[in-house]
Amino acid sequence: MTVLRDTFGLAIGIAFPAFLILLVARELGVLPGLGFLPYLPPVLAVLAIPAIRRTGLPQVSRLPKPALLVGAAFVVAVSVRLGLSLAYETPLGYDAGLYRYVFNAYSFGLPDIPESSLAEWVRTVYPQGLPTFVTALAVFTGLSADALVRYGLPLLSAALVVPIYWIGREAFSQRAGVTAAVLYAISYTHLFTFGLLYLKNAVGLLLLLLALHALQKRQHALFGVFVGGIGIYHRPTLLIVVAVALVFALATRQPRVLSSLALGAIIAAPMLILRWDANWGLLADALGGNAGAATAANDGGGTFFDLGTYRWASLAYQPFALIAVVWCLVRRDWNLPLLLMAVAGGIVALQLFFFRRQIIPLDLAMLLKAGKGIDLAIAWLPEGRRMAMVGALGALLVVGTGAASVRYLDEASPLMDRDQLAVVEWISDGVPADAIIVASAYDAPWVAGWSGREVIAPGQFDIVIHDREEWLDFLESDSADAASEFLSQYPAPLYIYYSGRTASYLDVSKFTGPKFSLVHEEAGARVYAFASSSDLRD
Amino acid sequence: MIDMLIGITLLPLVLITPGLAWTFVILPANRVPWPERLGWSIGLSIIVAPLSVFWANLGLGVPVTPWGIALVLLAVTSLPVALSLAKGRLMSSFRERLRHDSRRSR
Repeated sequence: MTVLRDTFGLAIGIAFPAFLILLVARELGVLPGLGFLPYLPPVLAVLAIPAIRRTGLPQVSRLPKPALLVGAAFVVAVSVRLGLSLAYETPLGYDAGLYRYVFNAYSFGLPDIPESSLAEWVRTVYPQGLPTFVTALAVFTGLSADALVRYGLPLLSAALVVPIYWIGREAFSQRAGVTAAVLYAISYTHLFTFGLLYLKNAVGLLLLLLALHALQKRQHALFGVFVGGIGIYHRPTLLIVVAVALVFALATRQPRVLSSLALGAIIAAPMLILRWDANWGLLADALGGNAGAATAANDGGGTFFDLGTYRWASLAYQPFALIAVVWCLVRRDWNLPLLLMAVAGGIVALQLFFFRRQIIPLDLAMLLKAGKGIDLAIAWLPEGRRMAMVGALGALLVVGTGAASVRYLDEASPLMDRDQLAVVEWISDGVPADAIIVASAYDAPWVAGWSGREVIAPGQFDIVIHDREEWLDFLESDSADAASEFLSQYPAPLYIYYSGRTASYLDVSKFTGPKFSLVHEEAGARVYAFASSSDLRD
Repeated sequence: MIDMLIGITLLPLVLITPGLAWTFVILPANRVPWPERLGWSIGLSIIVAPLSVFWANLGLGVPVTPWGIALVLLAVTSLPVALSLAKGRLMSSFRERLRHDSRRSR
């Protein structure tokens, strides 16, 4: 039996590098196709079970300078992100304009927090934590909110390597922690997340990781404070951390975790209760599996990628992560990365609340598990050539994981260029102060952030009259009469912004005739004025 | 440029100091390595700063101005320091009492 297990161990030691060679060959375009690759990781994990059941794996020497490696991972992560952030004049991501709108709303309300005068969509989508923090930081230091986001987000996003290392080290081993940190630095999923400017997510993830590390160290009071903090920054992450903590309390029989959750509730509840109306609707939608119902008409560019894309993006480290899952299950080791993976994976698989964005914490758990899986694979490598094979395995893993990120760096660009944004900025001087701007879901965040005017867009903001189908009909239609009938239901004075981007879904050929006039055009971006029947009579 | 340098110099007062002060109340004094204490301090500051500024403004009417925020940060940083000192004094008097009792029982 021992011989059989040894053979399996050896086979896995060879099968994993072989899998990575195939993946790297595909990524480099040497072997196109290979559509069967995503099916292999579970097979490899099942094949590894006999070897996993063997006790007493050979000891592998400790890493000589882990802090140096984690530091290097941080430098890589921050360089890539800062490079991306500074390469363009306009910010990356779909959410940039929305954040700018929210921070402006807070800034205009000073010296008071404008809690009661905020637009309803801001109250619903943006909990008080982030805008209050950024506003306080901007007021106290004199730095602009734009600069804080532009330089702060790359640092914040890259800084996650540190708690990832701590959690991996605590749950598994120093090597697992370092590996997870290095994989994070080159992970496509997290680079893509950064490129979308998910600011709330980034803070939520940092607090989530710090909370989980506090729980690992049995610092229950600290964990409770972090749970409360997550509650005021990012509600979907709050649901995840609470679910993980409850399962952890049950699995490890630590009732003190429940007291920590109570402390977290005491910290977060007052702020959540202040917006009870908005939060209750969101919670009811989330629990009913109907999250995003409020934005059902929004077909914009802020959507995170789906599970199919994620399967390819994480393919290089998937077999290692799955093998670590099997390892933990066999040993009944209910560690926090495993529970995080179960909770986030469950939400993604069952398509519950905000399930696409839950791929982000799921990937964090995958990276942590992959760290352990790679640790196991190294132990199974033939002893004589272990160092050489570890080097080869590491290189394959880095290329397999990083290839998609390198492609992303080549392709990533802001959703709006400087000239198109200049037309949005023109709106702030060129149209009346009480004007309302109609835009496609793609253009709307930019208009909200830079025009200083109220915006109407499919499934966004406060003025909601039409549903998704009606919006699609309006956007696609080339009939001036139909467009006029649609627009006349909104309050005047009404203007229309169109960036000219292909992804911005708006047929402008309908804006002809007496009711429409082109008031500004530059670099393909246009602003039309709409005159309703009453305006024409006047 | 000078404004930016001043701004960057002030950042740790919001991003590290309040959380660092609270770690001495929440965490055991000497058993937490410094890198982890620093990491947790940043996390705690990200929570403590907006909570205190928000409630100081809504509850007490402290304006969100540079001086208003400075006052709030000073308060929210001093409170754990005071608590920590009080805890230390309490602990030392408790230890003193224990020593005294054990001497008497001998």
